[in-house]
Amino acid sequence: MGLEVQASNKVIIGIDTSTEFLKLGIAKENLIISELLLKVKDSHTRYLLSGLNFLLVNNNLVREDVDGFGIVIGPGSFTGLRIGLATIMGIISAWKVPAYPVMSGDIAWRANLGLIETKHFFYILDGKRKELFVMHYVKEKNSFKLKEDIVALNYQATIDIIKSYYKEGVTLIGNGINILRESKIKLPKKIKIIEGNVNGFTGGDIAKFTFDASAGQAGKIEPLYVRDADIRT
Amino acid sequence: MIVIGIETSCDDTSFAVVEDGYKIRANIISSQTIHSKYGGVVPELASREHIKNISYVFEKGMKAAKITLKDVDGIAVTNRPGLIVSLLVGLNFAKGLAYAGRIPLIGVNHTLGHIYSNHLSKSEPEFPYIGFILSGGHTILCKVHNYTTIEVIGTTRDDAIGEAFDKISKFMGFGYPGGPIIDKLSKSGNPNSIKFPRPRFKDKSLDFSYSGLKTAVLNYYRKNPDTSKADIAASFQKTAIDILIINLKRYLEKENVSRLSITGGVSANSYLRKTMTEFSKNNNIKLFIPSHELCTDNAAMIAGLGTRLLEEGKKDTLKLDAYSRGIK
Repeated sequence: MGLEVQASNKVIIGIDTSTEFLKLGIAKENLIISELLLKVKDSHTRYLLSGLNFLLVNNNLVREDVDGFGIVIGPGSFTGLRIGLATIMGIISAWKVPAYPVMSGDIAWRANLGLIETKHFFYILDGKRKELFVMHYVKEKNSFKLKEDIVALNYQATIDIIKSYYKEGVTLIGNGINILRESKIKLPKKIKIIEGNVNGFTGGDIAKFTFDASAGQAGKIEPLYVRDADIRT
Repeated sequence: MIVIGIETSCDDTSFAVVEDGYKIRANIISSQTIHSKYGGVVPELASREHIKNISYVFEKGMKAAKITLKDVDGIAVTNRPGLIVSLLVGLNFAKGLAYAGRIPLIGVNHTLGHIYSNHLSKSEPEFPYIGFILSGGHTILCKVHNYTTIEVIGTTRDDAIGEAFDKISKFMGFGYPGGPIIDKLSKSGNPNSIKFPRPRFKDKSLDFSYSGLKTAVLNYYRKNPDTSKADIAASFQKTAIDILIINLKRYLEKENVSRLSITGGVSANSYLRKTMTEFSKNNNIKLFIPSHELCTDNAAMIAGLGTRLLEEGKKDTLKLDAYSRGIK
């Protein structure tokens, strides 16, 4: 099964600061040429620009070589997202290059397309406060479509929604899987889990799939706000 | 030397262009009105609004100043103290600009920025002088030795003065921000009608406290719902300002003061201005209060102070982080 990635001969930098992993990558003509992964212990703000600079310098790229940024807008850690997005806003204001907002689940299914053999794909991420961010996709020909709005659910509600589809075949990706395991809630046996500790994709995957996942639409980049409960008075 | 400033420490998204540390070529302030329905600043909402507004104020300010990034010698950004989630937006935008434009980055203390507002006008005070920083986050009496060095004489031990105005206004159903509302309402009230308590510390500290006053006003309002709201507001306002005057008087008993500045959003309060003007006149003190625009949170003060720091050879790396606390 092959994914027809939207053609691009451009150099795109992919960035994700939505989790504890700082993911950076460069793709040129839809090929990943370099990537960097760093588990950030404190704050992305201390590492993002040095990581980006490292990547550019090591690939002999300068400002004129960069055609745009693909940036994950969520769901995920709001603090991490704001650091990433604000930084890129500053860079694109200076460099006058476009930024393409992409959702993590949209990158995750593209990066794992050959491995997802089921009709349903759930991308589940730690949403903190005993909740998970849940993105539910359904297969359509050679791609997946987001079936419902992205939601923040408690652990049991997440399991319940997964169970309601598991007869049709379900695949899971994301750090929410480990959280469910640690919570001792039993996952249905027939579910396929794609393991991995970087939530299913790398910085290079973001760069590679940016055009496809954003439909080539550069635009205003803002974090994806999933729940109003984050507004605490 | 042209330095651009970025300020997002609370609920104003501001961008400024300042030349030679005092000529303001642009000072754009986007104030967030979204908090009014909550009766106070909601940090998460403030941060969301900063993300929405930051690029806009930058573009608007650069256009107003008729410059490009090639003209910029430094990028000054507030990185402390303030709401972390708000600070991070301005800080990281500034870092992205600094990296992409290869322009020196300078992290600026918001509190010192307020003091620097005095030096953005032609009639600036000579060092040293005594300064009040009065806002929703600060109640500080300090001795200002130079642009970057202040000696704190007294600071609040609990609520800031502006915070007390906001909370009382919220509780009495007036809305947010409380300062201008209480100021206006007080004009039709009797400031001597109710005697509210002044804080007393066992030590000889010149610190401030507004928590007790706030509680006393709220309790009075609960127990006396028929009392004129204007009288309550006026009496509270008078007491809040008296607390400042009492400490200033105590300081004057020990030290000579010939110059006094008042900065921060609360300095827009008309009763404060009137009282401090009279007090200064009676004590042969020259009073400095910046224009209203420069009293509230603004990026011009950050760019101005950033210029002085750059002149001293100070600059930060791109690892610069944000901190919620830090007076100096």
